[in-house]
Amino acid sequence: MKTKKYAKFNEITPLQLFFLIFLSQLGAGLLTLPRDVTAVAGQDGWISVFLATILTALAAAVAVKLASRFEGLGLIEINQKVFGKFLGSVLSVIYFSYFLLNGANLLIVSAGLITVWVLPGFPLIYVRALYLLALVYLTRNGIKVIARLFTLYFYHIVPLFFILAWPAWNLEPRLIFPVGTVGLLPVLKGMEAPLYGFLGFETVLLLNPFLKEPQKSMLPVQAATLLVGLLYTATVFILTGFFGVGELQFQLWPTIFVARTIEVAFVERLDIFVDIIWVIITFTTLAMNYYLAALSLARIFNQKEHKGFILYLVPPIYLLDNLVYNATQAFVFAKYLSRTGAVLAYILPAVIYLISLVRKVKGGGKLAK
Amino acid sequence: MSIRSLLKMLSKPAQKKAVKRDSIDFPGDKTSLSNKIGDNVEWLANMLGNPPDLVTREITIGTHKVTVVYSEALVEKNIINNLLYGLMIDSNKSFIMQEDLFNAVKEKILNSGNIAEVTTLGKALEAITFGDSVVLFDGYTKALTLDTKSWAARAVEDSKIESTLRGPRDAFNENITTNLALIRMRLKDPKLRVYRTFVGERTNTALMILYVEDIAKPEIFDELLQRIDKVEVDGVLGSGKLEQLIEDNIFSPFPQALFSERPDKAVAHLLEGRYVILVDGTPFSLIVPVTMAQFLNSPEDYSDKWLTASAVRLLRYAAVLMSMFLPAIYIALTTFHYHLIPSQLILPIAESRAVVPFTPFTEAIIMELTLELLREAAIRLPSAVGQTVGVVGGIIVGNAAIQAGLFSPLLIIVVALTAISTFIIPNYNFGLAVRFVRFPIAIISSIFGGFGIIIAWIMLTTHLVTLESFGVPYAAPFAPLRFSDLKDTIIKVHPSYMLKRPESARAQDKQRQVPKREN
Repeated sequence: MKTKKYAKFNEITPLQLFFLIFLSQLGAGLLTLPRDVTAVAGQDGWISVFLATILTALAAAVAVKLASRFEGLGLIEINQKVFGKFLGSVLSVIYFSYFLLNGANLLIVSAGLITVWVLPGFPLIYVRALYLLALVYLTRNGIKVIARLFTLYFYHIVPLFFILAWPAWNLEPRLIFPVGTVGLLPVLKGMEAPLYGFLGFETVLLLNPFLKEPQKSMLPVQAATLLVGLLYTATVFILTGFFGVGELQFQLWPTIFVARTIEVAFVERLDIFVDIIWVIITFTTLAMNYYLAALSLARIFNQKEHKGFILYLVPPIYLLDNLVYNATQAFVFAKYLSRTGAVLAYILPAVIYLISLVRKVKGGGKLAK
Repeated sequence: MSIRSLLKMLSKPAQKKAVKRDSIDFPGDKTSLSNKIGDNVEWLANMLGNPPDLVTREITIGTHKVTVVYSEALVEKNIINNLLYGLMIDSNKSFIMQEDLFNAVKEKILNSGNIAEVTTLGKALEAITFGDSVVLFDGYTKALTLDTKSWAARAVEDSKIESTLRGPRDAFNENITTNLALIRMRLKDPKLRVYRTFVGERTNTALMILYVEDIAKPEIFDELLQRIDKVEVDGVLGSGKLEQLIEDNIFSPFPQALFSERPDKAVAHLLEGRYVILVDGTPFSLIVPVTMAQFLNSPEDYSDKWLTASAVRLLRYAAVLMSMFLPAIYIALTTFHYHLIPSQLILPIAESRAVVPFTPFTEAIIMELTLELLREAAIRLPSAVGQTVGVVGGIIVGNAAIQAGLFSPLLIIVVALTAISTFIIPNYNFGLAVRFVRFPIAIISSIFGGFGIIIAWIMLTTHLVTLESFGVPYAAPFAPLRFSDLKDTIIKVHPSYMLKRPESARAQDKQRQVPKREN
């Protein structure tokens, strides 16, 4: 493009990093989280979410530390530097497969829910194809455009706060209080579901080479994590207080149902906004996974440009989705994927960081750009 | 963009190296003038093909022969007569006899301000095609050119398509000098820079790039010049063509340069640090770089109070969304998601739709196309007949269609709303893009319902954030978020709070006004 000369291509500011991390973390879990958490931790579910937030903030701090130790290098290069060529590549392939499979799986789940929820009985293959079309159209433009789009979609989340504010005025105190009756163990066990909801902060490791000010990445990542945590905690707290633990267990999508109880003037169906927000949220998570898969693949093959790999990934994802598994399998598979993701995001960065400390591997500098 | 470069490669076997063109290449640029006056006149007449408007007037000053050559169609008769009168009345004065004739005529006789010496035939030819007169001297290998232009031009008239209630009324016309004057009149800053160049291999259209030196960012100027230099067409007859030749993304329906016929708007953008391009023969200036939000600003907003102006802005943003999505939402609601319609509304809608023979999609597309037909017809017709189109379209077609039971009244309301919404958009080109975009959105919504609309929204926003105008993100200040620029988008704050120039103009000097001291 002609403007390439002076438009700094593919650099993201700290503010854009905030939007990117926020929307890659915020996932479809928002809709089911209240049920999943309260099933284990009862009326103290929101404490589990709060604890998970703190744990994630720590893990995110480790990830940022690791990223700033290798300034200008992405996860793939870090792996190679720390573990050597072979072992590093194996680890990189694992990360790539996770992003790819997670993307494919998310696509199935979202497309499946569209055909149940929005377009009953509609052929799945077309919904998936349309999703993929939008995904390819977005991700081939690179991180700068994705960051701009996520900035725009950040504003789309705003109605959610208004929708949550409605039940917040009609809470039943006895459904939440007294706090801490459930006991410590269920609360700790309840952290599992929200932890999966926070997956996405590890993105910062892959976006490291694109950061305009790598020293300033701690604040945006932490702010994004805390905002997501706040949103999750508030949702669980409010919905527990509004519906009660018992009633929550019977609801498929508590957050949509709460919107349905609101009636303002002649607008009967405010849940349509939640539906729209839900599609946007899943799309952003999907796009991030798709982009990261293409990016890590490009880096594994030592290519700077990810554009070609975006197109190479279309057939495997589409075929995987249409041939290998269906929606029911996808939900089962999602559980395993989440566990893998938790290992890759919470544990492995810490391990890499420790090893790099022990082996005194450092560096990168601006070279990798 | 790769496709663009591919197309360029296909269409052009060898890329000519871009050269700065501050003058025009003419045949005979290298040939110097002969000292025989007859040869020169003959060459000039032959080059132009002996046209009927070419006048060669021979006079004798003392012993020397002098010939004045000009094109009758391009000059002002009074100036020519004055010139000839001067040459003749002084021809017998004694100083002429003693001195070098050429210098004497140049320094003591010709009373024109704009006078130049030329030594080549090409330059003389250029002068004649531009409406200057050439004075040839027998025995000299140089000639004089005088500014005697008088090109047919309209007077400065009211602005036609960007009329406002309170702002100034005057608009650009086809004469580039007048347009420059209209801008200079308003902007008396000595730092206003005017760079002149020519485009069009054959039309040799003059083009001026205006900017304020210590505000505008120089990199954008270099980029602009580079793109203009690459333009190799035979003729540029309007700024619209130039706009398309220098824009970033040729596959987008959205305009990437702002056109305006209002000098006050041009000056306002110069003050923000943008570049204004004037093209000779066009009553429109081009403004770059631009963002999407600027297309929704009207000069009116800056005359109005900030509170009411903000309300109008809000209305305009809503109008853009409505004109893009309303038909699609109608289709999606009536085809897929009728359970979303409130129960008080569903009965009347169902009742009105019961007799309609078409699917909502067919119905909507037919009606929208009819609307576009009516609008095209109204634009092309003279204004007196144009009203008839409105009557025929609005009353007869609309009413009859409902009475015949072909279309539902709700659809007519939807179509009318979209039409009126597009009229609210202040910029015609942006309105065209919006009108264009609503058809693909309607199609995708007819297949995928509400999900299709969301995906259409995702793809539309993706497209908008991908666009750049001279390195400035099109969707700024929303994405990327530039917080201080938001003061002049959906809302417009009080002028005393507009302390900084918009970041999206990439101004060097960011401060617009000094903050007021509180006392």
